[in-house]
Amino acid sequence: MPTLPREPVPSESAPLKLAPRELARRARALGAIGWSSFLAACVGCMFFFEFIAPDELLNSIPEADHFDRLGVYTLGFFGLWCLSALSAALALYIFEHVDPQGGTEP
Amino acid sequence: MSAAASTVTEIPLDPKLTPPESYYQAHQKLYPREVHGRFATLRVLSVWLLLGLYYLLPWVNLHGRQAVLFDLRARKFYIFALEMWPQDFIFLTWLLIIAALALFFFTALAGRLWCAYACPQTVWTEVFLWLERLTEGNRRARIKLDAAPWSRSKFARKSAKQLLWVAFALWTGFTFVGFFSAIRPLVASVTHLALGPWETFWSLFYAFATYGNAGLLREQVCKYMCPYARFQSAMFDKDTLIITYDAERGEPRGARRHAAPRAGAGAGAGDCIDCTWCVQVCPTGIDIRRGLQYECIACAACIDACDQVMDRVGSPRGLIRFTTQHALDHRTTRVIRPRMLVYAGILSALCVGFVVALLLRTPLGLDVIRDRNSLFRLTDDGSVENVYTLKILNKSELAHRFDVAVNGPGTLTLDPALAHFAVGPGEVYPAIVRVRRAAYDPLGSETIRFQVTAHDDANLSVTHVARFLAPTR
Repeated sequence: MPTLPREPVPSESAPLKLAPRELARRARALGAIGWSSFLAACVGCMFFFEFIAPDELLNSIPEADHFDRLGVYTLGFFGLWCLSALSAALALYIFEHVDPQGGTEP
Repeated sequence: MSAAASTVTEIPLDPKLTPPESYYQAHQKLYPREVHGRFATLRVLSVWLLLGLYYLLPWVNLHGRQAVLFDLRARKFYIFALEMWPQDFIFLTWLLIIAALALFFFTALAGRLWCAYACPQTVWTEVFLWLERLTEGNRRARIKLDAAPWSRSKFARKSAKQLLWVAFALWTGFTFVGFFSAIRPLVASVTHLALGPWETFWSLFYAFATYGNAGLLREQVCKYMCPYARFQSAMFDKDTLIITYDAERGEPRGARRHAAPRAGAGAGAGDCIDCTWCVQVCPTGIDIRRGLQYECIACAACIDACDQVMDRVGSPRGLIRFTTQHALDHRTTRVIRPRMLVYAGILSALCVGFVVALLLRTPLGLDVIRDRNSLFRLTDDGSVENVYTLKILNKSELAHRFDVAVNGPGTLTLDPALAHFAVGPGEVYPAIVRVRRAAYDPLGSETIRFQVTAHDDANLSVTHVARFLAPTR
């Protein structure tokens, strides 16, 4: 009985070097995640520091005594940016692995 | 089974059905051609106005302080005569909502005005492109330079461009920090090499973002990163102004030196001479003749280019123009329509409400914090006592002496009885007061009201409710 050629599984066929198009796809995904999460972090930072004064955070974290208010704002902004970027990346990952037929790709 | 299996033959794969490695196109560098015309002039004016405001505003002083300063360290925002505190955050939120609605309104009315003339990405990209033209020449020279092997001249031109880009980006980053930390002392810090670590970080970070977005990424930000480009079509309808190519008039296109004859040989040809100028000037590299595309930022460079070409060949202008879908379909364009009325109504109400609320704003704030150590205290004279910290916030630019009064359903006494507190401009004074009432009053716990009034201005007054706790028998 003749055998049909076996299709390589994704892990075997994964190229070691990314093609320019794949690089472009990844760069664009990174851009979309970075920019949308940046906008979310800007708004989130504004709301967060309206209700939480940086001094309260400084007082509650003894290790942060060498930070000033500007430092707390900076860390708060980047913390929120990381969180929203993680959320956006997860959403994109899930969306990209959804099979239009209804199932999910392995 | 074996008979059936022996009939299996291999079917060669049709190469046309093989999926590509990726559906994404690799990025190709764009070389937008310089264009002159009505809309290019408008864009240049907009760049001068907006960047002028951005770079000069931090240097404007008012009443001895920076006129526009979002002082993060002091948690106070100064916008000319306005002084905003964290307690005034509602105004900032309100302003953001007004800005978002204005964006909806103007987009529904005239398309992507924001993208074309006001978006920082567009404005700074214009400057970076201008610096590129200054050092590397026009479109043709830039293409030639990039294709040429490295030489002394190429190195010099590329280095000069990078130097100008980096310098401009650093100036932009420094100015950005100047909106959050007074810019004059910042300059002194820079000259003494004593700029704070956070100021240094944010200057470099913003400079890097400007360089990356406006210098390197350019149209890719609009095409792949900006969320507004994706959802702006939700605000479009057939009466929205869009940039469009009049295919009815332009097709069939063909290369010609003069306008298509209306009769005789060659009659029936369209007005488009297929010069591709509209594509060459496009900062996002699209061909507007393919119809409305989300990449189009409505900068109208293609209109200016096409008008110039139409003038040269002797055809009427407007082959590419601002128009509406209804106008293209030979139907009437309606400016006043339900969508516009709804946007305009909400926008007007919000603007009027904002101004009224701002005018009625009392430059005095009061926050009442109950003593958390004990609910109440029974005193030797048979009274029950609650302790409060009144945080009096003087948001005005003058010092005031404030009187404190308390009232409620029961007979309340205040200690100190004549409570006067002097609070300087922009200061918060934590005043500790005790409120007493006869113990075991049938009222039990009650809601009381503190009133703080400026001694020299009865209109400068604010009240705050608090809870008075007392035991019940």
